[in-house]
Amino acid sequence: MKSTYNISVQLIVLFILLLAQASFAQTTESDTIILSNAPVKSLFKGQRNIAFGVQPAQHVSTAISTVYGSDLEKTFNLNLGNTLYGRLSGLVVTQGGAEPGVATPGMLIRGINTFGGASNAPLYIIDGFISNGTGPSNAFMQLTPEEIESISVLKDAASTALYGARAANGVVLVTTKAGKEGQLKVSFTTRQGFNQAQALPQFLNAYDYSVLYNEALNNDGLPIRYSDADLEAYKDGSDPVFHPDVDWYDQVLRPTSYASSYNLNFGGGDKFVRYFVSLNALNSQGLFKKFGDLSDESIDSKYAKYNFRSNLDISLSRRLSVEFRIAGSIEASSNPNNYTTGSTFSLLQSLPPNAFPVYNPNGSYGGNALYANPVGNLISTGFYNNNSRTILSSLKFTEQLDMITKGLSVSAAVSINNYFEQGSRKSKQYPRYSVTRGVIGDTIYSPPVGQLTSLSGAEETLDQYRNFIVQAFLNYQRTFGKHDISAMVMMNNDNVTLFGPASDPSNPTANSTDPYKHNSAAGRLTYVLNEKYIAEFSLGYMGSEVFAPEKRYGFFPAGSVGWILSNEGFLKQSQTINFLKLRASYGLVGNDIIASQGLSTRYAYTPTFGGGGYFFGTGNTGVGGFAENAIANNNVTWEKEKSLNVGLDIAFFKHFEASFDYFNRDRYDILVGSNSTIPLYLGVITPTLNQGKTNNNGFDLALRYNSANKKALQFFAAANVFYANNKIVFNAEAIQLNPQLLSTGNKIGQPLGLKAIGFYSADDIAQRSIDPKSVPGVLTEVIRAGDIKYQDIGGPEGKPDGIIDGNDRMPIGNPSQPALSVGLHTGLRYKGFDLDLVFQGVTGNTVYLGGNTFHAFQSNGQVAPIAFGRWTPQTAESATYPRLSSRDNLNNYQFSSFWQRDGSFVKLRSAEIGYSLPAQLTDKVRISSARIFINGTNLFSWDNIEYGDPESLTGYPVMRTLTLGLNIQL
Amino acid sequence: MKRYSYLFAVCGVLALASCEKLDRDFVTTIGRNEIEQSFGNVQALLNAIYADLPDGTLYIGGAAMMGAATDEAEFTAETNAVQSFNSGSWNAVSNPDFVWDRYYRGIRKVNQFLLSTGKVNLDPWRLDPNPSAQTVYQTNLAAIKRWAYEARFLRAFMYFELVKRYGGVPLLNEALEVDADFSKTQRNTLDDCIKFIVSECDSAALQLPLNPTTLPYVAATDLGRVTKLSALALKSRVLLYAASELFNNPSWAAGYAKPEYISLPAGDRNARWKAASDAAKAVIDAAPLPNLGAYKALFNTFNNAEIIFTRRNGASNQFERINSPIGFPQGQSGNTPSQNLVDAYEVKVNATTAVKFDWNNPAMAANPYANRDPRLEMTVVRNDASFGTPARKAQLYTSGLDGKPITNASKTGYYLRKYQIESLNLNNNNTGVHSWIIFRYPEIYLNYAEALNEWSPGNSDIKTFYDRVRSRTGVAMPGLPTGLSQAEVREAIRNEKRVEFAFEDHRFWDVRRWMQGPTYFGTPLRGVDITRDATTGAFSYTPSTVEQRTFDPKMYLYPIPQNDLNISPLIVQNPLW
Repeated sequence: MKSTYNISVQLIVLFILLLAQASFAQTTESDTIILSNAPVKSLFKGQRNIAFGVQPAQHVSTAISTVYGSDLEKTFNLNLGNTLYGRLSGLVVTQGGAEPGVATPGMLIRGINTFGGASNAPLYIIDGFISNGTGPSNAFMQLTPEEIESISVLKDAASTALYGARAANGVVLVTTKAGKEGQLKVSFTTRQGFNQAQALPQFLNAYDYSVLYNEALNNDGLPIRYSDADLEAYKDGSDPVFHPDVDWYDQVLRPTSYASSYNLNFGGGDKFVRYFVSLNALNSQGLFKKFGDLSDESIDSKYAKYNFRSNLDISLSRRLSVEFRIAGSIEASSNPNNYTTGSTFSLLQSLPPNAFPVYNPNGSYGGNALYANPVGNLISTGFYNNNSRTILSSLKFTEQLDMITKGLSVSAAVSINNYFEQGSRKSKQYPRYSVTRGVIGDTIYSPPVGQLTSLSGAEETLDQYRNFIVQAFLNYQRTFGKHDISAMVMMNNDNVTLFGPASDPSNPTANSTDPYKHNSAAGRLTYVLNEKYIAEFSLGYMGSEVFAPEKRYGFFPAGSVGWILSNEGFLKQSQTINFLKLRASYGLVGNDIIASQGLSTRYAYTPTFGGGGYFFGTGNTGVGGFAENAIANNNVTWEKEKSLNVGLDIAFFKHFEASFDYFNRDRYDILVGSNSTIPLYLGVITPTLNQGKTNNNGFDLALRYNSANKKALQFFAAANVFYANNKIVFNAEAIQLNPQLLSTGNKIGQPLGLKAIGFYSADDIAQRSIDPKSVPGVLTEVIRAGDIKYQDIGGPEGKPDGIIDGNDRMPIGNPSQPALSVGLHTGLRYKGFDLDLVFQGVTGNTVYLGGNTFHAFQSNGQVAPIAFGRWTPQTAESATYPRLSSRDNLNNYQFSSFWQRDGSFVKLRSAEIGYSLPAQLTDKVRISSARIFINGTNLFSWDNIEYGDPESLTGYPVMRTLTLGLNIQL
Repeated sequence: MKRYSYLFAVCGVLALASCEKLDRDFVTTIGRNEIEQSFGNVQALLNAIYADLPDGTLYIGGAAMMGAATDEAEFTAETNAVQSFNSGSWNAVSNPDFVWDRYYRGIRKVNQFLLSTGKVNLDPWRLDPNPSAQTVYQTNLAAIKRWAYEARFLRAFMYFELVKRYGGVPLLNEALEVDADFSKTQRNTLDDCIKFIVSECDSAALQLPLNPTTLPYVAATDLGRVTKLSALALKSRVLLYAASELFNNPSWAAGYAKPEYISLPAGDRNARWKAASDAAKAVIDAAPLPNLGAYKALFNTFNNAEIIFTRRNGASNQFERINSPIGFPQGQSGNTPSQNLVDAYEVKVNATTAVKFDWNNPAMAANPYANRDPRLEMTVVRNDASFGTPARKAQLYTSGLDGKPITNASKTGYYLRKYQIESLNLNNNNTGVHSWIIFRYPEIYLNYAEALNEWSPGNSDIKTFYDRVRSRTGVAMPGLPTGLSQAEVREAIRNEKRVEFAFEDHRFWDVRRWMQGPTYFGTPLRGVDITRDATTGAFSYTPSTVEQRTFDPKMYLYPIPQNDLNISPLIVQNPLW
């Protein structure tokens, strides 16, 4: 990407200049600020949040990785998921779309483990309570880094078993900040900056478009459309009405848009009351031009999010304490009405540059029956306001029962969470006209396409959920000499009513408001002997309402052991190895989101009837029928996973830490079509049964380096590596004479397509005219020289048949999920300066070049520079693109390896450089610290895709944000 | 301090109390229990079984007819699965006419329906002393009983659809559970299957009204239901197949371990032919015979005395879209009749004499469509014949509007007319009803003639009923000449069936049961090349080969789906597959 490169260079230069300038200014300073804590926290010290509790890091014998809110604060992002790229070992975060308030990244813990309709999404837990919703309605995504103490990812069965039938995909555990005893601390941060598109697709101008279109027509044996005079007019731009040359992206998007954020938080307290309060406002304008300024009936593209949180801890008595948490967020976005990511960007990606001018000579909108005018769509179709509100609240009482036995306590908690998303649409239509030149050179207007209407409105509820959670705990923690025991039993009941995002939000189906209910009880016992030997046993017992009454509850046991070798005599004095622990865990966990949550699939234990109408009588009267659609499956149950984890934690040479985990996950009871296990003569629509199996194994690795705290130049690096290799072990697929079409044995999500083997030569075409099957080809298209040639490997009898069709598909490329991903968080501190960089890299994934951006002239679309490499008789040897066709070509644009590219990339996700004012200066104005910083997100991408960003080739562009910020602490 | 403990205790109790049951708050879908309680809903279960009857008009891939898998026609689109019948590339995994699961699904529905009929709650009427309620009670009770026989006929029909494809199949007359032990399932013998189907037909025939106008049926609402005639007609067809060569001569599968699956036990062939002719005669004697009316219109109605049983459909124009000539609005060519079929239509010399068409006869070859059996024009769109709305003459000659070399123009030189509602304007999306007739009287007549000729050659009924088919209004072809040998009569009857029932999905099965596969289906499919003299406008016709066709003896029966063989190893595959 050339543009990226240029900007990158500018940024580097900017950083270097600032750094040089700043260090020059600091050289004479003598009072180096000694920061109390290390830049990145140790992997093995402090407390770790675990399922329904905390545990000293040393005692952890399961697979958990943790990141802290203070690290995440050094990014500018619209949702929490976007702060986690490359941060946590075993958590793979993939960029989704980038539209503010709409898109959230994908998050997977240790990769993909199931397929079909089942969910791979982890369970999100905020302060002990489940968080509902998907995408932006997920309360997790709404949180801000400033309110977060830590985010832990629970990766193995032993760490998640307490969550029972919801645990198999791993758990993302969020703990928010609590007030600490001490005097009031206030922190205020603001960022001001701008967004720009990280990359935009490029298209050919009208002249190049016309030249290539003529060539495409000629290739199809059709007369050319553009005369030399036309081409000349496109070239010199002398006739913008009848020979327009419009860069539509340029007409619709602006180069930069404003972004800002404000955060105020304060906390403190005494031994009776401790409090933490956070307020956050974020504003990010969209990339569309300010159409609201051009028309009262449109609106500027805006996005804002407001968050608040108030966490209170009150000691009501010496024994009774209460935690009260209330937090919420409000998202509000405004856009021109006809704007949706899908329609506007697909229009921009298909509309040819010479289709029509933006405005006709008489001021009306250009346009034709085939294409709307993107500018008209954004100015003259009304506007759309969307807003959503989230409330998270919880109350938890804890009573110390030391009078019964020391170390015993009991707690009860209740949480009520709520989400509501609403839209307000004001819509209208506008006419557009195409123009032709009359015989005397005058302008003739076509009849209007579309008509002018007045603004009308509609309100709609888009999505909502409300949940009610009750929990009770009995905790025990005590140390007797060499023995350290902690035990916990608890119960949890949650009831979630949600609908949507409904396909027709104004008409939610009754089924979508049928609450989801879970009851669970769980217990954990941890025993540590002599700070050397650790044994832990967890048991979850959970019931879920989506299964048949007698099949609702199940047990989920898991155990883990640890051995802290560094506390043994032989290593205790070692200067090389400061800490060494071996860990192993094994357990059974479940996943009860086994199918898409629709009307017919959610309750598989009830049959559904419908269809089968017929006709009787002399009037051919239709009569209704009841045909059994899906038969009742009383045995339907959750997916299960047997998960093994073996880990090693080591700290050495004081400054280095490493944590390595190998895992092996055997998922079974995956709901799949029972084609190979249920005979057809049974006479039922092939049921889905709990028969599928997968295996996923791999490793994750976390590394830390912290230079000595007291040096003037401090350097730190926190790296993580994750590799997973999954495989479908059993899928009950129908028998197949072309075995390469089976998914069993492949990776989950392995693309199947045709394998491109070059282009047809003129000789091939001559040979085909004699014997079509001697040079295999498709039956659906007249094949010409320069078309993509595919490998013929299958046929109806399972052998090559001289015909290219669905039987010739085979595994091509890799799934879209990377096999290997790497994260690096690094930086340095020198005197008042700090630098913080986050890199993310992935490999082992494939991206597909599809749609109008890459498929020239298809669906009346435009053409991109990739088509310059097209096949022509002269370039037959060197062509990189098939011959051009003016019509939709059913051969060249099939799903094939030709359009696949390696999706590997390394991205600089976030960079921040800051300067903290010297203490003498801040003391004078009575503030404890002040820091100014420059922050950038999505600054660089090194990848193999010449024409865009590998994670978002089409749709709303990924935004790069540059901000200047100030943090003041009182 | 105590106060807080109480507070806590209250919270704890609340927490435990909230451990609620996990039942659904409400159920939105109707279940089998609710359906079985209701008279109307159980009737809807039966309706859904009728909906499983085959519709041969848009059969394979939603477009091709079974005729395109025979010497009747070629389907134009190369991509349609029907082509693999003709190229021989069909097998136990991929079979274009994949009905095994479809009919077993229907059979399961019947099995469950027969249980449901016993559960209908008629108490609202039974317990109501009001006489009118008692009348309704009695009517409903009788209706439920009748439904059971309708369903049992439909099951027997579906079994025969399986038997004519696969030979003996598992007779599964109870719905199996998903977790049943499938490893024990076996095929029933062909003899078992035939006997079962025949006995079901006999039971149904005793209990069902004679025809849609016989009480308690009322044509206005019940036309299209199974009648006594339907049951008798199925029995006639089944026994004709049972007497025919294929099910009595396993020589094509020498060495096959389980001949009882593919053929009947050796026995008196004449007795089997007699049983077949008796069964046909039973239909003929059951009711006054209808007059056979216009041939072309028959296929666009469901209400005609000639029709014994038909598959009903809503109005549509998909058939016209698929099959209209390529040069007509929306036309896609579809199923195009072959020269093989066209040649089978006789030339009518005069009111009493008809002769075979012969390309070697120069007069016939020069003017091939003159004086032909009128059913040719009613079945086929030939070159220079008028077609469509608005009507124009089909231009099937080279470079004509409907001819080669237009992409997807007919490869045979003909288009299909039968079943097409020519009055539909497709650009206006007009629609009409297509009737896929399952049984009509002429089949019974020819079944009777064919069976009679085998065990009682020279019987006068042979000519009577053969002539009856040919003498219909608008056809009036000469009758069976006297003095023909048994073999000549057999050939005449077979040709009559080929012509009368073109595209009605008889040819595929008749050629198999006559064991003439290699003769008719293993030989090239022919078409005609037509050129038009630019100056005189005269046409000349040259027969040509359209496609080489494949027929192996294994194709007498379908292979049983490999999937089920894998799951149930005791099910034995058909020979040679």
